[in-house]
Amino acid sequence: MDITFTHRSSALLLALVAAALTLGPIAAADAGTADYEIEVSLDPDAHRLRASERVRWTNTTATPTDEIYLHLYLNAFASSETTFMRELKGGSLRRRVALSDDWGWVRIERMVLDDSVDLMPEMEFVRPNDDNADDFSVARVALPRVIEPGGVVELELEFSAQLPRIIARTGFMGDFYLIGQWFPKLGVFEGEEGWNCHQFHASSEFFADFGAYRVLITLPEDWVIGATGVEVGSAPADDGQRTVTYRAERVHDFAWCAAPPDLMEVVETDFSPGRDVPIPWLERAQSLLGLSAAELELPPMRLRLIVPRAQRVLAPRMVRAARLSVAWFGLFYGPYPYPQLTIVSPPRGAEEAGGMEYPNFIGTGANRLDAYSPFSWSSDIEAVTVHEFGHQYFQGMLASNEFEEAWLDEGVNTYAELECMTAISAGGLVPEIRPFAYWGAERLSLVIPRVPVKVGVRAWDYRRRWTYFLASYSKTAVVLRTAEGLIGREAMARGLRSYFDRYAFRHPSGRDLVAALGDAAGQDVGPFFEQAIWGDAVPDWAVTSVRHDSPKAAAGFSWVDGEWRAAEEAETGGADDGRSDADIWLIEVELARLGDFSGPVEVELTWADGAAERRTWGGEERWIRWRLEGSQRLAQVVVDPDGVWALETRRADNYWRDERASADHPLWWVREVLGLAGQIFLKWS
Amino acid sequence: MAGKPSPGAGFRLALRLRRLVATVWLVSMAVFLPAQLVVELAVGATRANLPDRPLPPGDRMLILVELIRPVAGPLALALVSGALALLAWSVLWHGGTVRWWQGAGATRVRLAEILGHGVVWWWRYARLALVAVTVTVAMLATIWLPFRSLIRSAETAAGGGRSGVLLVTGLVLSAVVLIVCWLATLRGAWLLGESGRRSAVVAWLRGFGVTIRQPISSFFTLVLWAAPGFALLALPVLVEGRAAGLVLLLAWLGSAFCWVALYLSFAPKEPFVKPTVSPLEPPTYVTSHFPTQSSDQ
Repeated sequence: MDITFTHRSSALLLALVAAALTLGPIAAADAGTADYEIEVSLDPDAHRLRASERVRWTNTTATPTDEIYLHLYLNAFASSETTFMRELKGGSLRRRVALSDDWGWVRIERMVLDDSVDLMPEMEFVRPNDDNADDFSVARVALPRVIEPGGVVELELEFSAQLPRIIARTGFMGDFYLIGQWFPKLGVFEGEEGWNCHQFHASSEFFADFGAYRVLITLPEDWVIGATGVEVGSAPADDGQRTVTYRAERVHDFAWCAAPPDLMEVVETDFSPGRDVPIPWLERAQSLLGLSAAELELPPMRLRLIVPRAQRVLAPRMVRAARLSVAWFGLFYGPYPYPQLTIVSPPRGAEEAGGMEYPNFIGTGANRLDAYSPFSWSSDIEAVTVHEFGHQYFQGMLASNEFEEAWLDEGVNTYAELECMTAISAGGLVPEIRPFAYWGAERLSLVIPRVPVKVGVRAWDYRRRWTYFLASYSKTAVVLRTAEGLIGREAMARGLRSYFDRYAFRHPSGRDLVAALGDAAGQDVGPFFEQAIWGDAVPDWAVTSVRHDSPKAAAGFSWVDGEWRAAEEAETGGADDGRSDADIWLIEVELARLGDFSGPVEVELTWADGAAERRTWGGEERWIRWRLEGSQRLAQVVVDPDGVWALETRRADNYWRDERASADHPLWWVREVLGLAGQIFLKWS
Repeated sequence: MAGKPSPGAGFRLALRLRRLVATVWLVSMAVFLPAQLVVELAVGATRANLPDRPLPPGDRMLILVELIRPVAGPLALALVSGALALLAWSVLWHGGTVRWWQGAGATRVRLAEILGHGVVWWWRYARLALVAVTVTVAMLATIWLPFRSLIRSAETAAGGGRSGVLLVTGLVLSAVVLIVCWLATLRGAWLLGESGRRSAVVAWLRGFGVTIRQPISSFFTLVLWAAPGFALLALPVLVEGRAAGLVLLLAWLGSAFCWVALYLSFAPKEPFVKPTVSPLEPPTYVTSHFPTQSSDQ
């Protein structure tokens, strides 16, 4: 695979972009709500940053304010008593990590307003979520003047930051640095609702305004660097260092990584739509979205992979995964509007830095052993790349509030990721991986909790940390899969596309997504999502009984022609249609809704001769009984035969058959368990 | 002095001890019947309701988990106790076979006698099994503790290509350790039956020494019997169709034959003790709790 940067038109495009993004200050025309200019210097010996920052904030609401709120995320790692560390309880996001002496913090040393008013006396730490006096992740600064709607305020800060040993996707491991959430960052002013600026919780991510970033990073001159945006300049600095300048527009965060060249190397490559968009995917997008090939055309872009030298052998696979991701999301959600994406795979020991998204910059992850069978059968490289690139859309451009509606980013993205991975697997686009039922595996994760899980809660309000992951990722994805089954694949695809088109760069809420899907489906999907996202109802239907009876002769008297007659006499007075009662079965099929989730469900009835019919039960009642007459017995009854209700995990009672099937193998359960083990450990269905 | 193993002799002896083979086969299946029963009771009725066509993605696994979950405890108990019973049974018939060979093995075959001797010598051979497991685990740990550090160091350094080589080397060494320890145990089991021998540790170490001195023949014999033994164990899980049950019974019978033959391939060429004047009588210094001809009279 040619992964060197050879695409001439991409080179030209990049040159034009770089020329436009000059080394000068951010032009007024580029201004967003919160624009940042930061000059930072990395001290690798002390693992410390020293920086100056200028932030320009525009009040885009209709409400004036005389205060600002700042996120100081690194302070979450300052001690064992911060809100983050207390909630983490000594664990980590992925592995047990003990910070020991490698704590982290950020300290604002100087802060002045644009008119040189010293703001340091006006700064105080606040705890809007839990009153934890040992948490310093949010600061409030009272301003000496009111910022009217449309008004602009500029702050100049000087700060230093001590980087922790890698935890929660930021920090250092040896000489490898992945630096995220490192600078004092404004919260989001929501007008009458005030400032939205939550503390840093173990289960929360981030929320910020869009703007332009210009960041000058000084580091050892031969070190490899990658960051949000595009490198627009590099100049030598003192003492064997260099200063690299990055520019990014319409982003809400800035992250970067750095490492010596003997540890990490850079692979420059590109995404070329003519080469990298699978034709079946294009056809599928055309069919589902009702768009032409011209409307689905994607721009080329640059891909920059920063990979440990030990993982160099995996670079082609990582690049292929990135290209497939760009193709999928570009087709179904819209062209990626930025000129470059940087992908970093952390080295061994720094895995905690992987699996994370920042604007134009994602951390993935791999292991050297992934180059060998059977480790290579796992699709983890592709899945994490697809997932993190998907965040470029849901977190990067839609930028919903990850504190309050984590599911709106993680869950929607997980749905998109599983659709993409299913397409990759079905299309054989990654020869190394084995066939795997991604949706089946996702449904399986929902059986873990014994207490029903509600999705639509704040990130730190889940009962357990693992229920945050289950609810925000898996359950939401399966909810959307179920919605897709109910409204149709076309409506789902068009709904998600219109949701993105409508709300890109506008911080949508969950209700916005529901409205977009409802518009596309032409029906009210609110009741479904009220139960699935903002409720904890669990769907569970069952075939409770199926009875077959032969008609019996009536007993007693019957009123005929004005008098009571014995039932036998009354019957013989009727017309003889030649049909014997022995040919008729009276059948009662009883279904029940054992769960609290109500909604329409299909039921398939199969007769003894193989003929099948389908009926729909509205599912509002607790139970329903169908009385049927037929010349044959019912052979099978199946509730939800197509698995539309992916949310339903108690499926054993959905099936009934007249003649019990005998096991085709005495060790059938061993085969099933081996299959389950293969699915879990080898990612092989 | 231990001679070279003989697969042919093992085959012939296994044929002679066909009742033992049959018993190994039956007991090995019987110990897992409780687990089978637990699963059938929990899942069987529901499974019988499933249609013949493919189910929606994930349904089969969901149903399995839903129904097994409430009986996970009893099932685990049944599996663990079955495994322990199988282990105990293996120790029994291994010890009993050696005792049979040591006594009147050359002249008569009595299954009850073999099993009875196995009960008598059970603890001696259980000690041998414990020694084998302990040594194996210790040797594997000795390999992997440094290898793990080496692999990690290789992955963090620029020379990441070495990590794959180190991993493969570690796996190969582990396989060698497992095979050598297995052979040493087989050898040691026969040596433990020599008169005056009671120390399982010494017997295992002597078995290890013999294995090192006869590596090729030992390895060849092991592969010749173990390969089909494992293959026949796995075969029933892979076969589908109505004949699966019959295939299972026959394949596991074949597998039992292979394991018995493997063990008997390492038997000394001649019994430890020459047959006495009466082939029905054990040597006087061999303790036997079974009535002899003379005591019957």
